[in-house]
Amino acid sequence: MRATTPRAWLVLAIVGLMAVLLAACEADEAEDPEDPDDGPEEADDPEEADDPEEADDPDDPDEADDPDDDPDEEPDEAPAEGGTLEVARSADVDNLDPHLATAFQSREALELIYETLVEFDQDLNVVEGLAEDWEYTDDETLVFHLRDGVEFHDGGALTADDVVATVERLTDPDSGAVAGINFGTIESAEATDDHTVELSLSAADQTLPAAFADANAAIVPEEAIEAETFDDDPNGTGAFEFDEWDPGSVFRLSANDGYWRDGPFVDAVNIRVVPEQSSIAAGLQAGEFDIGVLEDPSIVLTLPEEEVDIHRPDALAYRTLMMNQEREPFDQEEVREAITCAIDREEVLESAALGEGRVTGPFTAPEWQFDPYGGLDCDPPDPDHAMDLLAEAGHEDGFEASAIINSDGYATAVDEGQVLQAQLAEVGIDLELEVLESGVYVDRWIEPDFDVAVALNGGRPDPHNMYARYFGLDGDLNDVATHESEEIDSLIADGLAEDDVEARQDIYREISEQLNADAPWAWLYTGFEYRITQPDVDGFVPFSDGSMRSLRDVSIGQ
Amino acid sequence: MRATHWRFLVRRLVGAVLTLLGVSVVVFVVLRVIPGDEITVMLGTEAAGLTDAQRASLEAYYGLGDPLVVQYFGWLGNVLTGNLGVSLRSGQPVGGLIANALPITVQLAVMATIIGVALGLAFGMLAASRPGGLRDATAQGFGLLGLGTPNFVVGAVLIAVLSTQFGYFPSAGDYVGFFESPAANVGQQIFPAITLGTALAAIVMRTTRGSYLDMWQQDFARTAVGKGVHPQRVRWRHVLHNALIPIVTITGIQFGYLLGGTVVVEEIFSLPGLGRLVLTGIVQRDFAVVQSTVLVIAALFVLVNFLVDLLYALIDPRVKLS
Repeated sequence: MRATTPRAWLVLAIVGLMAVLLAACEADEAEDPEDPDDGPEEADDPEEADDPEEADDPDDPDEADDPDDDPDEEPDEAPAEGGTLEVARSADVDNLDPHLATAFQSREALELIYETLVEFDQDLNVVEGLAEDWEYTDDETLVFHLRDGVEFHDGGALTADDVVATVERLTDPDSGAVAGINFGTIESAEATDDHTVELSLSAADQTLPAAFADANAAIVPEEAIEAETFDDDPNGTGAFEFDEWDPGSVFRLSANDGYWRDGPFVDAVNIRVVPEQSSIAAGLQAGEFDIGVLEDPSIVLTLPEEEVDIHRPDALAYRTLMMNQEREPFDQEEVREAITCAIDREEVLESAALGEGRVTGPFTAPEWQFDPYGGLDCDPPDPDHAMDLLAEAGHEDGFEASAIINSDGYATAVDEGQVLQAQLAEVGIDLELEVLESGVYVDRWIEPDFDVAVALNGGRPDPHNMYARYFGLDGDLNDVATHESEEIDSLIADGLAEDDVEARQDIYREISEQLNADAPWAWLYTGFEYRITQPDVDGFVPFSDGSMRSLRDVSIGQ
Repeated sequence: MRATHWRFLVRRLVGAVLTLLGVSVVVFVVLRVIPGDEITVMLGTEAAGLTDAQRASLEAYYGLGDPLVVQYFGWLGNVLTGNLGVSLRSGQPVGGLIANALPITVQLAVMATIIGVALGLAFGMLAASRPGGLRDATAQGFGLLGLGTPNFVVGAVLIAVLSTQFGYFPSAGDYVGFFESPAANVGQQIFPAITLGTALAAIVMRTTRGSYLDMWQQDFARTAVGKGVHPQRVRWRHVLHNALIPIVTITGIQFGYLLGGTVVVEEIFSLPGLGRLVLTGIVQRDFAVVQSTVLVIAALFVLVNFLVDLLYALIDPRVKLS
């Protein structure tokens, strides 16, 4: 055999590699005939492109109230049927039991399988769901009238008994149901006939309808509770049926043909786990995904807006700097107020989140947003006033403190910490940053074992469900908030019982101002719940609570 | 088989068992030392709202109440009978999760090794063919670049270029097994394999160059050339053959590392392999998954090392199995 020279070897190796590479590219293209590159061009159709914008308009309640009509409102074409919707997000489902699953990604996936008695519309008003009507017959009785003809995926009919069993599971402290905290006033549930459920309350509670709209309050069949089959056989009334969960990889759903609403318009939904957000962005640009869920503004801003639709509903979750009042000097109101005055929220938003969001006060839901600075002793930022306040509290030379930061919970955390560190340094406060992995952070947060915590707190559409737990004296997170105020506690109780919306707003405005005045935390900003869709995805409606239940209305254009 | 071979086998086997026992203890302890119990991690900040009764019922539900020693020996006993436990999160048997993930990672490691060795050998020989020359400098420059560039950068660049320029994203869809469709499967693995392979290529290149030049200086090579054997024949027959030994060793060790070191690449390219299984397991404090997967990776590492030793003896009969 003649010897080959090294040069020939090199050429061989490179040619071989390139051949494999080319073969791979071609193979994939050949297998994907339904994904033509001309997809983005079709998006130039102005009507289609405008649609999401219109849906964003909060002044257009009709459209949001009745998403069912959406597909019919397209006069030029009927919704295209069929196809598989590929959804990409970075985290996996963590639990198939809708009452135990807390992670956003689980709730959002399970919402497609299970449904609730009532729902939120796009403006976060409570609208009908499995119940077509509900009423408070007196202060302490709430009655739900169920829709007729709704079936679970296994063919069983939805009855009042299922609702009663669900409510009993939700309110049973031993069940571990995470929404239980919102149903504390329910004493008993009773089926008065096949389609009517009567809840007896221990006290007036106007927040229950909103609490029943929560994904964690999904209605499950009575038999599933008895047989505990949530983990291997999810059986709901939703638009999609559970097919398969391949942990860490994909969560597969297929259309429920017997769904009681119009739709769904696609055959299947695959929710894929793509851990790296930049890989999701790349996949969206390559047309591999129909919908992508992103959190990091710096990655979203790299996406070409002319190629994909970027939906930016305001998030309910909010960034805040929590101060531990069990530690000095944060037990002094002047110190906390000084910190609040020293922080430039606009600058935090600009630097950490590239301006993607809005500065916020205590309440973040659309109907409950008041002046973010109302009740504060300064119109921030006001470092001079902050220094005066510090001097008043005996800290004219400043002090040292440390902040815990969640390193892997969300993208902007460390940046927020650094901006806050720089801003507080200007008034003499030396903030040391402790960047911690999620598990450690949560442990320290719960304890609470921190001076201050850079936090992302989840939001709820109803202010009661959001704030009673932190600032009500009996709240389950009151030990973490470390702020005890009789005044706020009694205002929270008033807000719970008040049935007039305007009167409720007055109460929550008062709470908001009082919270700013007490300054237990410095509220910073809310971001966006980014949802990125391909131009040929029709009927997608983004929600502030992150929900993707509009997938039941979505179709994929040709 | 000769007695020395048996002795070698038995010694390696005992060593392997001890190593794996050690790994099992370390993993078990480390997992429980890191702060954040699985319930807290699972519920996140919601865990603050748990009453004692709720926490106790969740612990009972997930079987976390037993003392640690009982948990450890329970786990070990199960592993010995082939039961790797059940994932706390997904409720699925860990054995099944590993069975799904393992082929992906092994294939990735094999492909990366092939790419790494092919490129490394070619560049190494090229560099050694004229030491100190331009070729050498160029090849070494590439080597340095390969060694110095972290995997995640190579991967990110590959994805960025391929998806934005060519609209090609390799790993978004369902993972396709090799026997279902070899072309599609290789298509999904090729970029991650290149990402890992380039780092390996750099190491192989440097080893090849060094070892080749070293052998070229040896008496047997000089003698052969002196006796009139054609230098090309000496180069390929004698020198390369001898130079292969350190290359095989380094490749074997690197292959072992690849099996456990695919975490970053699997994360970037969303390949559902072992690395991702372990990483998600750690983040979620899914003890059963992490413990058993790490044990399997360790066992593979031990196995690969053993095979490398055998290969060693095959290439060079002078190497005794002892």
